Amino acid sequence: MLGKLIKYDFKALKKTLLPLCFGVVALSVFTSFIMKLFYWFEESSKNLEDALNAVLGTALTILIGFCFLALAAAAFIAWFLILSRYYKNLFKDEGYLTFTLPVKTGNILLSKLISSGVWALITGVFAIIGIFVFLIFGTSRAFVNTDALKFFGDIWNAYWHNSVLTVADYIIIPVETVFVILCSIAQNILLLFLAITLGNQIAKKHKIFASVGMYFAVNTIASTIISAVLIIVSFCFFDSIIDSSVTPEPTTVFYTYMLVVIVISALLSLAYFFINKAILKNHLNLE
Amino acid sequence: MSWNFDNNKPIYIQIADKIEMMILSGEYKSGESLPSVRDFAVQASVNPNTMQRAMQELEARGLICVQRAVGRTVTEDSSVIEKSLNQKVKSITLNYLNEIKALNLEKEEVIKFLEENWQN
Amino acid sequence: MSEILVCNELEKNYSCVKALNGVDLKLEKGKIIGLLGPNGSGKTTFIKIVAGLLKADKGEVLIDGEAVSEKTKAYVSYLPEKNYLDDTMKVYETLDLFSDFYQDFDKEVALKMLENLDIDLNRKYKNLSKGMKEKVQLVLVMSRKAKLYLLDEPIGGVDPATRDYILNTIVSNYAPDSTVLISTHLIADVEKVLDEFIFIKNGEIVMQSGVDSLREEKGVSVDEYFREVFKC
Repeated sequence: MLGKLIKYDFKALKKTLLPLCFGVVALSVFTSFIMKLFYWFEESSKNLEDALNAVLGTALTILIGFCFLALAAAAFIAWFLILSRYYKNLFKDEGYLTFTLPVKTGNILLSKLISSGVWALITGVFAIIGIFVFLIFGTSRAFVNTDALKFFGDIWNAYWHNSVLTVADYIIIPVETVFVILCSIAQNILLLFLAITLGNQIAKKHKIFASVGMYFAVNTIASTIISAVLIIVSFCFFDSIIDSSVTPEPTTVFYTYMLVVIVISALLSLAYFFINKAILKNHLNLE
Repeated sequence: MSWNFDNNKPIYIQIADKIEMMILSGEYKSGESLPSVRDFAVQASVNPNTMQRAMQELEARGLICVQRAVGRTVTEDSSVIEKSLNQKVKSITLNYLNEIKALNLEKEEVIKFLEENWQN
Repeated sequence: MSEILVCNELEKNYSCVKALNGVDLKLEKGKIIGLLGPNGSGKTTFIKIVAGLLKADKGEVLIDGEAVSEKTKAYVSYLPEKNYLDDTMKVYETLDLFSDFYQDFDKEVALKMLENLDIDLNRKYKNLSKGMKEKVQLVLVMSRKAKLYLLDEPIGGVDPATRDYILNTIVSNYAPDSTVLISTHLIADVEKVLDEFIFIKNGEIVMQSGVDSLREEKGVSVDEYFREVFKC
């Protein structure tokens, strides 16, 4: 049943998010084009009348501003779409169907998490493509920005051809990076889900405001607990860290840091998940 | 087409009365098989259980019989239908006479009126 | 076991109102039963608890001997008052959804009923008229061979022709040993399709009886009797 739930959640998200993804790429192509116009305009504006010059220049600047605003808004819109699916499908009229399907509450939540996570990733990939398009095509007078290309090439070479990283590092770095990304996406999504669930359970009216409030409340509580735990842990191991005569490798410090991030995210995700599930299962009140 | 019912009598009796009328009027002929309870219920938009009870009522009146494989059929015993028809005619006539007599009319006047209006 | 639904001392409070106040109820298999009461008497609350959308504060609900869970949801077919389908889905997609999740869903039956209604399967649900939406939902719900149907105000706010269509669909589609619970305040319209009726008032069951046994004993219809019991 989990597979079927995911199928429908994934499809529903696709309807709204796929156009957004293509929109982002199209917008960065468009912005690059406008930038080209702008560069061309800058060069040739000396020959134009002052008044026309000013109007055209302002218009282009405003247009560029809008394009950047829209690109920035896209990320916000993506989150809004993901969360509105969760909210509508569970707590609005559609919830009457969702919660009368013969499926476990945990599976409903898991399906929402997986499909939302996958779509967050897909949207992220499209956003990165958009940024690349802009950096390469929109940042120079020439058709392609060779400096930008060279910059990315240098980073690539520096990563693969250096004396610091060992074979083991080449395995650990991608693995840990993937885990950090997955865990932090899960943690963020589950925190937002939990906030919406709590907002709906607690408030009779203004449920969205209540959800926003719950987001900050839960986030504050979680970070307080984590800071407290981290302080206690570091106190316990303080001696061993100070006493160690050998200074650790910089990569080891980095790995440990990543590992801590992963563990914390995973624990928080689990906590958010099970609290949310318990509320939906035992205290669901659809009115 | 759904059937309409009065408020004061049990619905199953009213259904049985209606089907009896259909049999007496020849809409369902002697020996003819009847629709299934479910189809009849849908046709009348009534509860199938109520229709079932109406059928039992008609069986009790002797108007229909249950036969294996065939289902329910109108009785082939024409004397039962005839008897039932007579009863019906008698009760309708008596009702009519009760009301018409209250108007203090002569027998001839009533018959004349009946003849005049028979065609309509 | 001849009972499909048993409720014992069911209680439900909304912040300050008692929606259900100790409901004891038994529904037999193979019957069409009307849950009748004025607005705000607790009909919807009761149905939602049985469907699993609300949690009772006290008491127990047993559907075919089991407490409400994803297991009972597999054989309970629930029609809410609202449009609970995703607006952006096409009609055929909603059919797929039902056959994916409900094993007792008979797609052939649903297709035939939709064909009779002349509904284009490729239309998006949101582009259907209000009446059509209600019909599609009813078709989906009644195309399941469920043990218990819960129909919340299925004939409220529709024209008389649609009302007849809905009642006919219910009568012709429910499986012989399954039970249909119809909540409504339009009693005259549903009376002829009911076996039994339940009067609910201020969250309490005040009467449960057979439609024809009421007529035999008291010589009145449920509609008339309702007016008497619920006289203001």
